[in-house]
Amino acid sequence: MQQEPTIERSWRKRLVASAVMLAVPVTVVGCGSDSASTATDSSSSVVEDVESTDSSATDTGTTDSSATDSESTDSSATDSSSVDTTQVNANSASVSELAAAFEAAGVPNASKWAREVEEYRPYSDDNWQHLREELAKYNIDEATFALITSVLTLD
Amino acid sequence: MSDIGQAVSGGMSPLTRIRKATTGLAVVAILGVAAELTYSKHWDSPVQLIPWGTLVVTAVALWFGVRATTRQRARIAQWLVGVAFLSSLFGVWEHIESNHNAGALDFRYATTWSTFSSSKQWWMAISGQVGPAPTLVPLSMLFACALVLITMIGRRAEAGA
Repeated sequence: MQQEPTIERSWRKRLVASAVMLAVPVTVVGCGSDSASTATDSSSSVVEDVESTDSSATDTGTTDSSATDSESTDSSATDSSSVDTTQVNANSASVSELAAAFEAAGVPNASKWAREVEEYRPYSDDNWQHLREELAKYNIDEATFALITSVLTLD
Repeated sequence: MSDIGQAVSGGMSPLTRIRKATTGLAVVAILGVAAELTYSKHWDSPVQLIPWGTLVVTAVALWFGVRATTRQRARIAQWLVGVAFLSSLFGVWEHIESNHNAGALDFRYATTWSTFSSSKQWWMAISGQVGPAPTLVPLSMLFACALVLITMIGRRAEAGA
């Protein structure tokens, strides 16, 4: 009989401690997620800046249907210096090959994007919709996405 | 306890009632994480299969815990949930690290990410302000493990009695 109140106090303490341990991290992460929504308000200016500097680069490769093999294609639509836009196979190229192609095309953080493109294989002929959905999780801007897809091929 | 209280509780002790409630919550948490993993197609790589294994271990731990009529079963349940807890912690770290690595890729911070302090970068990764990996999901797995642990409070002592 004397033992019961002791046991009851013991598990009550454990329950309270457990509840606090559970509540704190969830509250912290949840509040942090709320503050993330305010950051999207400043998105438009960044997108405009990116588009204005990279607008010339988006003309490369998007409408060129003849560049189906992996040979280098000169792109005169970009900036004054000639830039090789080597096309690489999205499903079979290595991460280093992807990174090199992205780097040549002027994609910022080329090696990181190369890892992400490699991670979400395979890609089918869906106008890069699958790739768009996966890279959208990283808040990629349209200009960078256009640069990435300009050097990717499925052939 | 009043007659009404007795009727509502079915004559169960507070400890039993709390165990049943936390068992139910643990089941809901496990199913919820499983649904989220399925919805997000969390099977693209071998590392992404780890949380599936963790879910199975957590469920088995819960099963052993609920049926811990012997000290051995109670001990097995505690060990299993301990393994699942550590695995969930690994998942939390993986998600945070993935978000941290993706910080520079976010167009909102493309030019400013490198100027942020280390603590700010990690806080943004932890809170999900950057990156593709939701930190709440592995935390939910931790939550499920914690619930299973709660259901086992006092069981070893009872089993040994």
